[in-house]
Amino acid sequence: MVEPLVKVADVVKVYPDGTVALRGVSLDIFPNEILGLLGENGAGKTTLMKIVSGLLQPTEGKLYVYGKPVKFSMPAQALKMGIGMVHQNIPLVHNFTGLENILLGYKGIKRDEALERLRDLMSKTGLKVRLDVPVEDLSLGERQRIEILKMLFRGVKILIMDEPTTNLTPVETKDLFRLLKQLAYEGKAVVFISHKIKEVMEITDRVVVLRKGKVVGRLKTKETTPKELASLMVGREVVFSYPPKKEVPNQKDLLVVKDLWVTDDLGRQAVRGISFTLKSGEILGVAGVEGNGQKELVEALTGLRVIDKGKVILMGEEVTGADPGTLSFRGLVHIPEDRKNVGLVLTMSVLENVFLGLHRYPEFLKPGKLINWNKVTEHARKLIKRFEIVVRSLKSPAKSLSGGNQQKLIVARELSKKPSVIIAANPTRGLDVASTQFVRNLLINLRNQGIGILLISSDLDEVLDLSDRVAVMYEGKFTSLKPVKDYTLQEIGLLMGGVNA
Amino acid sequence: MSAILEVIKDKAGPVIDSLIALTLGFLGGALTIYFSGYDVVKAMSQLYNFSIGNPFVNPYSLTITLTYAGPLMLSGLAFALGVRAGLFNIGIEGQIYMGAFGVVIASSFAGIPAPLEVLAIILVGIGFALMWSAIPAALKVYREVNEVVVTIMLNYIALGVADYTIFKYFPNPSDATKSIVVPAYARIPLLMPNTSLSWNIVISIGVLLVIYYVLWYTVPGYELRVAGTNPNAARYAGINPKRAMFLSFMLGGLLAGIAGIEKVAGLPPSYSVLSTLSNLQGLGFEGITVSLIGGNHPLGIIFAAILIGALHAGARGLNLIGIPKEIVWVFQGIIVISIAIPNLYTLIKRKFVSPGKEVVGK
Repeated sequence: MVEPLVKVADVVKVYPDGTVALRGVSLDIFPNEILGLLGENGAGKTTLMKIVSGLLQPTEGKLYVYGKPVKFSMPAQALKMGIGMVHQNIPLVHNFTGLENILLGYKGIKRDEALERLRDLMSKTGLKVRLDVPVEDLSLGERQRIEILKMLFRGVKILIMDEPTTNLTPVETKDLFRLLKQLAYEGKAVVFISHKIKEVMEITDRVVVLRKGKVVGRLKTKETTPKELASLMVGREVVFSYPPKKEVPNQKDLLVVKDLWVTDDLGRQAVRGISFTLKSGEILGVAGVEGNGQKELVEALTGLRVIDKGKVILMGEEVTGADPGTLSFRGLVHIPEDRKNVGLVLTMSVLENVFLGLHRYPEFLKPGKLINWNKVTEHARKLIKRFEIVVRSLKSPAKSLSGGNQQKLIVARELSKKPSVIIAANPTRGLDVASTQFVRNLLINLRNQGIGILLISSDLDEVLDLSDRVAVMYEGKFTSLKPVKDYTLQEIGLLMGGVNA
Repeated sequence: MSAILEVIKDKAGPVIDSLIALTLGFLGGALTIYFSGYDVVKAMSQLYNFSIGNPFVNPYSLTITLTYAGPLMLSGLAFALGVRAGLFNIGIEGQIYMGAFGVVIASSFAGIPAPLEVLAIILVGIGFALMWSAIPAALKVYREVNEVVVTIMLNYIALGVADYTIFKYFPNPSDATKSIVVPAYARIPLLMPNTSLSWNIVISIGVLLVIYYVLWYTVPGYELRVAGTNPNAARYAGINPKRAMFLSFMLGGLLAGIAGIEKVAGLPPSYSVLSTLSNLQGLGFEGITVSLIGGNHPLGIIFAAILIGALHAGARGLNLIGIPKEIVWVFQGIIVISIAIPNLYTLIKRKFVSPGKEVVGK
């Protein structure tokens, strides 16, 4: 029996805001092996490995490296013991060259000597990078290779890769896999964090599946199937009960999207040719692991991002490229995912936040672009009463509200625009159980009233519970779109993991 | 009055910050006077007597304070409007030069009917300042050029252009150290005879109240504040943050223009621009101080400008008993440092650190 390099024993992690990320996880990391860590968003994969690499401290539980108990208070200590993590967003100094980045914080070596050792390392591993170019001029793949090279240069024994293929081209992915296999062959331990079942099947020797902070499966890759992994990854518990969905007669096409193409902030095609029709009295759910273009899709549909190609038709009229103000006038409102930075101005008062967006509506204005604060106050009081929003005073800043009440405020405000279409992005993320139930019930009731709702959520339970039809989004495309009852759980899991069922 | 009370209640935090800073400033100033070997009590009473004194017996000291305060309010508010829109607009200084330059040019029209002359002073003065403000505004809005760099440069250019042109083409024939004077019939009248206090102070307070109303009771003002506080929420609500920035620059230019007019057409005895623009220099930068102490709020700025005006007025008293008047800079400096550290911190955080994406538990 080989001794594990790293042993994680019953680790619990509670974040300062009360989120429980890990609920007692145990794990062994062995040399000569690629260990897959598979799970959905929020399963705790990254948190677990941040603990192993010293970036986070466990709330409870122990960590053993080479059989000895350790307590890391910073990543440098873990690195010293040979544990290195390559993060998803690689923290390099952008205007430093690759060499400077690698040597940053590494003392006692001359430049030429380092360069020689790095060249040697590169030829041995086949890692090719330009060391004399500022990092900001390099592709994301090349930056990742610099980070890996840095880890190898520091002599890591355990290399942790967090979703390493996200920003890579297929060729780069192939090269990376070859490298990881070689490193494992040479005796290193590799931890491969991913939500992509296909990749986990391809490259790992052993898989640990996490769900909601717990280990739900430990398998030998050879002895498992994508289907089994998918079921483990998305297995679900029913907690909520909802109002019944009513048949809505005379369904009309509210929102028609044709061949939509959208670019993300880094200039990559994030949405690649999406088409769908949203009907009245329907909730169309978009499931998928985060980062598959959902954010860009929402932003494009709500007027916050440029549409490269395609058409958006709202109730018979083309609104492609219209700004958010115009869209809300025409009946499309947006419940944004990031309520603190987008949906609200936290330092401004509750009253001023109720007015946000409504400041274009004549019923709250007086002639000459003057604000009728009395009307706004009246309206705010009505909303607070109807939605049972807990506020100290209309004058207190929005940041003094709890997360649930902030979300209720946004939802209430957007509904007062009397929309026909609601685009809701992760509308219950971070909310407590009662607020979650409130928002979900509300969405169903609105659907029963004939409103069309596009629900984009990385919470699969939410999508499955609320939607009439479900689309699965993977790498910028809807890989499937059909009534929710026509899916099996396993099928959705496979689709989310990029495996076509 | 109730509106003011409400605002103070709302803004209790910033008001308390300002009061703490003032206390620290006066303590630090007093210590400096003490350690420099002067009589603290005497110095403080000079400061008081020359800035406030006993206004019911002899309001002269207070008129000096208010004379200083008038234009300061405007330059303070001009800076505050920038902050409100998410800008660090330090171009007020140069815009005041240009405004004053415009007043001098308009003064050269002397001889035309009085109402036209008044109109000319207002239009040319404000027009020049607006023009100077339009440059960073356009660069920021259309090319996303950093306004800090542009406005610093433009301040120097304005100084050179105004100083050179005024003293080349509009020198005072009887006094080489100043420009032609504003014709007597077109000056801003005195509020109290035999003092330097003109209607400047009334105009300034009036303008501040108007801007206060614009910011809190009109849609463009609301949009400006939303855009400056959270550009993402602004875009989400259909507000164009760039339009808000442009508005802020233009209002800033307008205020700087009025400040320039007040300084030249409303300030006895010179009623002119002095060589090297020495009677204008520093007004725009002191506006930053005033804005910070006033919590970037129009009503706060009224009090802050009077305070800084009082320090200037009181400084004359220190000079008379042999204490260098520059010591009031220590007061100002400590006040600004104690208030600016938390304030500047938020500003810098907002401007230069993009919202971080901490990915947890993916």
